[in-house]
Amino acid sequence: MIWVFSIGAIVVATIGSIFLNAKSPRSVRHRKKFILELNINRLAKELQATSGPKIAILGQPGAGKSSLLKNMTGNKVVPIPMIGTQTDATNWASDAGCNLLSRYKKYIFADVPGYDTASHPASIFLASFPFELFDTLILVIHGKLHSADERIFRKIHKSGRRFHITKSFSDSNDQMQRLAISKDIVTRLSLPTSHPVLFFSNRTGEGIKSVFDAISTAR
Amino acid sequence: MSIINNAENIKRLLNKELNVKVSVALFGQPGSGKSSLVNKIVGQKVAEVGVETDKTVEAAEYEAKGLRFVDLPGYGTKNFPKETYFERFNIPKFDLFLCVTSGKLHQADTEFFQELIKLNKVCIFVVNKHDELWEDGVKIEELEKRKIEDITRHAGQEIRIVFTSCKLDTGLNTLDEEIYNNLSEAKRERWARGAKAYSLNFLKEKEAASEKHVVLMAAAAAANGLNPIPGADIAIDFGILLELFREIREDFGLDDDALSDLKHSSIPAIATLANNAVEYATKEGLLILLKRFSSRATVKQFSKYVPVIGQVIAAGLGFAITLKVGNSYLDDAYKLAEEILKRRLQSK
Repeated sequence: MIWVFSIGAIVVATIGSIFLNAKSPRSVRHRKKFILELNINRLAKELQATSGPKIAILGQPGAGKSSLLKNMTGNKVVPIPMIGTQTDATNWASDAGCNLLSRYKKYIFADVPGYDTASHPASIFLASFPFELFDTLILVIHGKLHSADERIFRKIHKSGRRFHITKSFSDSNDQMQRLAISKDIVTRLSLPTSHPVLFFSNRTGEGIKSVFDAISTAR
Repeated sequence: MSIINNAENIKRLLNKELNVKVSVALFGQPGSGKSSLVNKIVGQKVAEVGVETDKTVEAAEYEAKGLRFVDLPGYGTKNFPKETYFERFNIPKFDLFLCVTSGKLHQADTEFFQELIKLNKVCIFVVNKHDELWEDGVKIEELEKRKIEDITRHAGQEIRIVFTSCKLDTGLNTLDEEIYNNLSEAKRERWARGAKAYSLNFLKEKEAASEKHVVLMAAAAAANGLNPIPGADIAIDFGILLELFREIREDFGLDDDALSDLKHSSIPAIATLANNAVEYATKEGLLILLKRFSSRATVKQFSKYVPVIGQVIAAGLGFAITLKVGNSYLDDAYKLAEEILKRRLQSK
């Protein structure tokens, strides 16, 4: 008797799970990942079709990438990036037709959504982001260096493109801390100790100009 | 009941009390300020804080004043795959979890939180570095609201969210109380004694929890007639009382620095209390205190303590003295801690 019931229970559970799967968070996540991949593929095509210095801004969510872009260009970048304290304010994972590139003067910017969130997993960026199609790659680090930062940086380094390491929220760090942070970052990224880390603050405006100078004065 | 049975009973109760520990697990991205938060809660520097990254290769553990904190390493990383994570770090045994974030939410945090919910575990979201929450032209209240909405959306349900700043000492009282409210009765006392008070209310809570501990320690000191009190016809255990004093000082955050600072207080009464707290911490000082109270103590039935510590001890002159001595030290410690806290609240 008991085994009849248990088989019955398994059948019911299986049928139930098939129905539920249609709306489970898992399938939503899969769809988001799919859209993110579509958008990254489209990004590569758009980059190949445009000319001008191409710059990617990469970093953790909330590192201050969008604000940096907005501030660097004196609010004149088109379209103006979406800024917000919420996760995935810059979102490439829900609309397959979303805007991927912004322009300012001759420059073309990709304000890349923060990697390592539920809808923007670092693994997808590592696998398909077209690092080599940019002229300059800017890595924005907020607090401590995460393992995702290291992995992304290895890709940046491997692409052979020009890159700048920046540290946001500089208003929270005094000079002593900055020295320690710079040393820590370059060591972790296996860069020469003399490699500069550009400190900037979206809040005070400090260092914003030097990030832009670093982009614009290149060759 | 003999006095020996009573002494055994008290020893057992003390051991039981000593075994009550509050264990809190923290998770969240590197740099979200977990170590700073632990130091702020304990009120001592137990965790190393630094701007440099040290890759957490194991769970870092800190213990002080019966509070245990475990800083969990990254969930679902190469070193710590999801499949073995819960078993490896014995996740179900923790009383409470703190998800510490200072930027936006990361995939690992969201996923780990979902798993905790399945286990019916209490998890409080701590949005640390509140001082860094800023956006051009947006009011702080609006930013907080957005943050709450964002976390709620990721968590998929209403949850407790506390904003803290270890730089400005804000939100720490709310966190203290939020944790307190989510613990069982026995653990609440432990928490109130161990966690640093950031409000006068919590300091009162701390005093109440300490009072219970004083009763047990006083009874233990009275039951163990080791050292005779000169001039009085009784013997008690000085060591237990000195240990009690040390615990009281630690629970109220009265370390050497704090006390030497208070000794120079412009309020004479406070300076005297600080001097006494230091003096009574020695055997010679304790003797002075004991003599003072033993001349005044009378044998009287502390009937309310009988169920806890037993008839024989509760009725004894020794307990009458040790309880008075313990409570008087606790009173002084409370007043000193209150003075420190008031000063700190005023300077804000």
